[in-house]
Amino acid sequence: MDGKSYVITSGKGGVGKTTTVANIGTGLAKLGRKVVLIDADIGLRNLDVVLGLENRIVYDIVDVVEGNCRLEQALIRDKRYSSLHLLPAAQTRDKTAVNPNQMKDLMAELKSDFDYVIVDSPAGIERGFKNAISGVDEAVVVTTPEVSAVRDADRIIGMLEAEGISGAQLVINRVRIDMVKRGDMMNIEDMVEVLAIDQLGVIPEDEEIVVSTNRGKPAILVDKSKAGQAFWNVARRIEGEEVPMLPLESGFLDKFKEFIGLK
Amino acid sequence: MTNKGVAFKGDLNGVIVNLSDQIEFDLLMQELKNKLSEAGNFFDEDIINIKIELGTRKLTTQQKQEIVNIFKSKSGLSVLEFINQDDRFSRSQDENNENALFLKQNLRSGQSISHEGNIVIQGSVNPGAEVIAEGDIVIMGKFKGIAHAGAKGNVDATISAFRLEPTQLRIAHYISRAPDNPLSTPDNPEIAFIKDKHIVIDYLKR
Repeated sequence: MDGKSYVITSGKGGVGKTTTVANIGTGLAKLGRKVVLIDADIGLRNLDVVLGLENRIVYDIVDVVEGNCRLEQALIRDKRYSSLHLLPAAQTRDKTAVNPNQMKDLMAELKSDFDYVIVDSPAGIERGFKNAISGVDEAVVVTTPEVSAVRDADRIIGMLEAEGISGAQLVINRVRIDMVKRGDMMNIEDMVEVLAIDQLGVIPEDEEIVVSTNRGKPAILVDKSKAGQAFWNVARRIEGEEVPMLPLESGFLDKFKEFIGLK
Repeated sequence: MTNKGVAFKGDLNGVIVNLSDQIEFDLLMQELKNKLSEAGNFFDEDIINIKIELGTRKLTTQQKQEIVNIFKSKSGLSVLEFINQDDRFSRSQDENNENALFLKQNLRSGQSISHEGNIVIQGSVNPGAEVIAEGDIVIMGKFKGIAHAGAKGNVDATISAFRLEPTQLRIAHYISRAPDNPLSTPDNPEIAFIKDKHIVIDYLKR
């Protein structure tokens, strides 16, 4: 088996990389795929907490690289989907504990065992980022509808291309449809046009994300979550399904008005 | 005549005699004899049990006999036991790691402390922090991180805290983690130790 490998990255911090990784990973596992998520944010790990797996960590990625344990010993099986695994970051070390060549070897080993290997990149463009993109075939760039986040996304896309990772796909996170309609938030088409990469998904702002993050249960598993629904669509698109983008209209009534020409 | 070395204290079961571990034994015995003769008939009434507190001093059999004889010379007194301070407070301590590391700070996420002996922290340990000791671990605060006591294999090591709400506990080669749906933790100091090959948590008594 030779699986696909993705890095989820953004440049700017706080735009939702870790949330995206947790949800896409869970979604792909729900679709029956064998998935491993790698937390490359050594020293500031979060993915374990978002997945609710923090209390299971014994060995981490640095232990694997330094040979303190075998790779299988460090992989934590998700408590909901047995085909989903986490390779946690070390918390008491820093980014220099791992180098890009070691990451490359690790990725190769994991790709032979899993359908999907998804790397959660740290913010920034330094060593941590370089580690996260090593040995990876494809990239998902996460941004929010803010000028600063889009600027950083643009920088990151350039760096990915320079490293030979072209064809990155875009996830626009935390979109408030009402604000976009009023013209108070950046327009999605404009962002896609500036960044000039394919759109993988648009995730609406959703309070449910805060709740699910704090509970360690990805929003994709919460039926009423709009963001969860959007992440579910993203997972299916990664699997190759043709899934239309979530309609940006705020409700049925608007659509109806549009249809009969009142709007 | 100095009288810094010998102190008498009463408790429900008798009299406790504290013999300072800072003074030479011979001087101490002289002082003890003087004190007893000063006391005169004070002890004559009933039979009184005497406990001898020695602090960290280790006595030879001969020295113990000498103390017993001094008390025997006064009627009604009998020496019941010798107490070494060390034995009362650390049941899992072995002789080569008697040194404890004392820290007066909070331990935050990503911080890690390891030590060959025991570790005492006056402060709290947050999630993401770890404490690794070859001996016991005592947290005078909230413990929410990862602890590994008896890291070199001492299964008698313990982990205790004012509030024990760990992410994970390890003692020697045993490991246990917090339940996924956290139980409410009691407002009491607790201690974790190994019982029947499992890590168990109990109220910290005494």
